[in-house]
Amino acid sequence: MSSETSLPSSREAAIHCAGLDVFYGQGTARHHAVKRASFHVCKGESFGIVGGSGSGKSTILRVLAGLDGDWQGDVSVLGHRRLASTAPQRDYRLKVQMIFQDPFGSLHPRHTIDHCLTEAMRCHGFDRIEPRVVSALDRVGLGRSFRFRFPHQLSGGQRQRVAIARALVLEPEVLLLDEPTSALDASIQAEVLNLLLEVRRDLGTTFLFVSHDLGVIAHMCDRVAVMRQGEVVETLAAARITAGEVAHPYTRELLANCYAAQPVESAEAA
Amino acid sequence: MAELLIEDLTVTYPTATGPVDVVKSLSLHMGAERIGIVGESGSGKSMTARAVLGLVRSPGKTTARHMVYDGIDLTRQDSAGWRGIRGRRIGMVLQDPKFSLNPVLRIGKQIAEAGLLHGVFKSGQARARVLEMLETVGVDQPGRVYDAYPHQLSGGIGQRVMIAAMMIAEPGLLIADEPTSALDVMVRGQVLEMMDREIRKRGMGLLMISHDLKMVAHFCDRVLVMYRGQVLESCAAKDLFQSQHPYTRGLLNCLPTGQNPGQALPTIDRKLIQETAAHHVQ
Repeated sequence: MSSETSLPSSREAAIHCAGLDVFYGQGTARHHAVKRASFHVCKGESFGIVGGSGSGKSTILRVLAGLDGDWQGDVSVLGHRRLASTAPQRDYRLKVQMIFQDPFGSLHPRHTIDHCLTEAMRCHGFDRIEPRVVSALDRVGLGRSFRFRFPHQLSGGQRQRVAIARALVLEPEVLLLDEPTSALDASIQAEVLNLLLEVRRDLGTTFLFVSHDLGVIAHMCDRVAVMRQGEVVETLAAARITAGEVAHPYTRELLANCYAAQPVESAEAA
Repeated sequence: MAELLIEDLTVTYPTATGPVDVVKSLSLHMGAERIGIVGESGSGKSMTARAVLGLVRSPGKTTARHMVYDGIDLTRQDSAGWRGIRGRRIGMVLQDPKFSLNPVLRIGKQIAEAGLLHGVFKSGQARARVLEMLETVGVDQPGRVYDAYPHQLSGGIGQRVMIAAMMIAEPGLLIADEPTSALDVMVRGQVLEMMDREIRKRGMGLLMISHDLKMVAHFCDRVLVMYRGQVLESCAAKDLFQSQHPYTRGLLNCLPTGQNPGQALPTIDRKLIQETAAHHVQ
């Protein structure tokens, strides 16, 4: 393992995950989706997970969000030890929020944006709900005129902004981002990524960012875990991906297949 | 050599606020070369591909001053005429093999269908021809895939099967509409390289529709950049990265590369593009 995996101990851990195994299905159809995955994310850090389809990267996010139960391993988030047998605490569900890939599937089609943003706040007993909704909409660049619209009146990029606003109204400390821009056009992707960078700069939120796009990961993250078939094959600083200094052959292959991550000159020469 | 000539192709849809041109007077002249059409969602790139094959459904309307492929007038075909063109003269590969293959037919039968329908080979030769074609598109175990159903295949193999089914009737032009966007990144490169190799070998033309500028620049000779139904720029693929057009530059610059991590990415000034587009039309 490379030196980047051991971090200065002075920084507090936001996510600690050691020997995580995740399973899907029962009996003979039981599938070992994540195999002994270990990584460590500091408070305020942006940590990326890359890999091909079915490599288990989204599965890890689902376990951390408490959406999947069939797992074992040593997992703590924000100092809370997580157990597979018990549902996460109320406080945990507040501090850890997830943003999903498909903005068309993740918003209730018959609820207004206002309903979507206030529901979770009411569940968690927030006060001053109205000003919080307005300020969250302002922060994600939608403005209050969007408050009483329905999802079908919004474009993909606008919906993803709503999903981000919904997570932000709860003032989370950890954001789990599952391919938040892969369903969007490149120019809209740039706008959403800029918004996420702003959020992190202003609020110091910890990001766990899953993507198959090495360019996005290199831009958004400090460190990256590369996954293949459920295993973490390499953990390295994002800058080393940009520099092409990768150790594992799989990472090199991934880099070669990702035209977007290549500098313009080499794409042309090939 | 078969040529595709399009002049002033317009596709119009009626809306509550009046007709909208989703493709506006597009012109294109291509031979056995590889042309890429790039643009964002709603730019009209897929609609252009559909119009070439007469697949724009009512209430959409296709009009063109000329639309001719290899001497065949594509503006005046009835359904019998189209049956002789689709698949036989012009093939089309769509984005997702999951939705394009018939789920209840074995793969071998689906690939053979186009060849048999167009009389390219007799039913006695079908099995041998299909197995040969599966091998050509890089399927490891052609025998197993021949007898498989679509749900038993991975996305990468599924897309190879789609390409095999499109090539078996030996069309002169292949239209590929986002052929690899539903595939895993690792498989994407392999499928594109195979497609490229076969197209060159057979001297076919390729019209590749994609939102991915770098991929298109890599696999095409010439690139058209579309925005809101109009072609904003047309250039040689090798010059695409030096393009001075504000929209093309915007599309190139907004891609994160990791060169300036954590910095705000440049975004596209849509107002400026609207003005340039209006200017372009005049």
